[in-house]
Amino acid sequence: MKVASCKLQVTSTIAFILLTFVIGCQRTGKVEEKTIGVKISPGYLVETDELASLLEREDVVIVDARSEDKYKKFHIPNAVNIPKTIFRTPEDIEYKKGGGFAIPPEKAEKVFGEAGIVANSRVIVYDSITFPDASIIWTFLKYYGHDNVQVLKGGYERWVSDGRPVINEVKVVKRADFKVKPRLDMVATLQWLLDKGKDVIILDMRTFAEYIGTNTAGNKRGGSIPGAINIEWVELAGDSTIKSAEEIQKVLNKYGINKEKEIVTYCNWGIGRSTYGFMLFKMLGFEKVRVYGGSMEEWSSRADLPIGDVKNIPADL
Amino acid sequence: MKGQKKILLLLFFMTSWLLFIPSITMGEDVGNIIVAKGVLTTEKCLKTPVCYLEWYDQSSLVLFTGKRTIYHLEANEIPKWKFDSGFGKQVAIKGVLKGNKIMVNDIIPLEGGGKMSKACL
Repeated sequence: MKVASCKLQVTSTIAFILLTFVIGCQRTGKVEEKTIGVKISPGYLVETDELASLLEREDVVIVDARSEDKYKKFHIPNAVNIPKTIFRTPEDIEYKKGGGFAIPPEKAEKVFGEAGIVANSRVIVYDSITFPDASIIWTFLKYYGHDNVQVLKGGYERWVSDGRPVINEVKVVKRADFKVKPRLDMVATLQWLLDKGKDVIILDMRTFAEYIGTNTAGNKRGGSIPGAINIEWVELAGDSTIKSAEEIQKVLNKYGINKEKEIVTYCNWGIGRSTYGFMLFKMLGFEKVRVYGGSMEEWSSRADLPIGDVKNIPADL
Repeated sequence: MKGQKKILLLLFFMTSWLLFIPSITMGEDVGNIIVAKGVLTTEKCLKTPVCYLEWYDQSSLVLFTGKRTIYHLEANEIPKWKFDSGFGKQVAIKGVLKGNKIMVNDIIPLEGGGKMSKACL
């Protein structure tokens, strides 16, 4: 009896170990699937040490997307300045109303040509991590057919805190011949959005106060596009340009966002927070992403369109 | 035989536990994001038969909705002091709903103030 009991104990122990191993493997698999569902594709971000080694390269164009004031004070050596304010001229705003993207092709040729960008340029763009402005340059270049563009991780602040050199000398650049090849499938026009209806996930990248309309942010009507999900861009950016893939996955899980449905991002002007959302989802490998160029500037000005605001929040959950 | 039973029982519990752990760790990340509106007050305030309360008591914070439902609130991604600006007022809340608890990610004070007791809401 003792021998039989001992055998049973040994068998049970082995069975338990095997069972633990099998369940452990299953668990690991599931957790990985859940937490590593998204990953930031390599090659989209540049660390400061890599940029430091590229400062003198002629095929590398460094773009400072911060304000002109900040650029003139100090910037990364050899950087040219393209602040977002130059994309908000009355002509640009008028062009956008026609259903186009934020800037007309000829403007893109001028701005990027004057920055010295040509077909084989490797563009590295940076901003201050408190603003999403590098994403404007990144998205415009992608939209106009220039794929070789990267973002400096951690922005100007990381560059400085890493003890890298800064200068205040403005770089003089000989105008280059930048040719545009617009990618219309990156943009959502108002009509496109209305046609798609509930088939797309609309992401409002602004603050909660702007989303519910308590802050109108200069728009004709405060509020958001009905059915839009509010993910403020900083929820994804954190304090380092982009949060880790694991942190982003948690945010996406929370909002129920996956790669199945097409995603459209918007903010107030269609540049800045909306382009940040676009850039981030592209970096995460989402194929179907668009920016709604008109954003709330256009939507709120159309009195015939419904709007979601604090009055629409139901009395109970 | 008693020893074998004990072992089998132990195996059963350990296996159950192993099967249970993944479900709770997985559930940690997944939530139901909601936007809600109601009066930000406390449990104690709701039970007090006075209409106007000037103090901020230490009982748990609640959201009292237009349909008289009570949700317990906990700061998730915001500092606790952010609740102060909306205390006793109508507020809009964004957060994760778990049962009757909302893990608050953002809060915006709307209007009103001073009326915190359930009797006068």
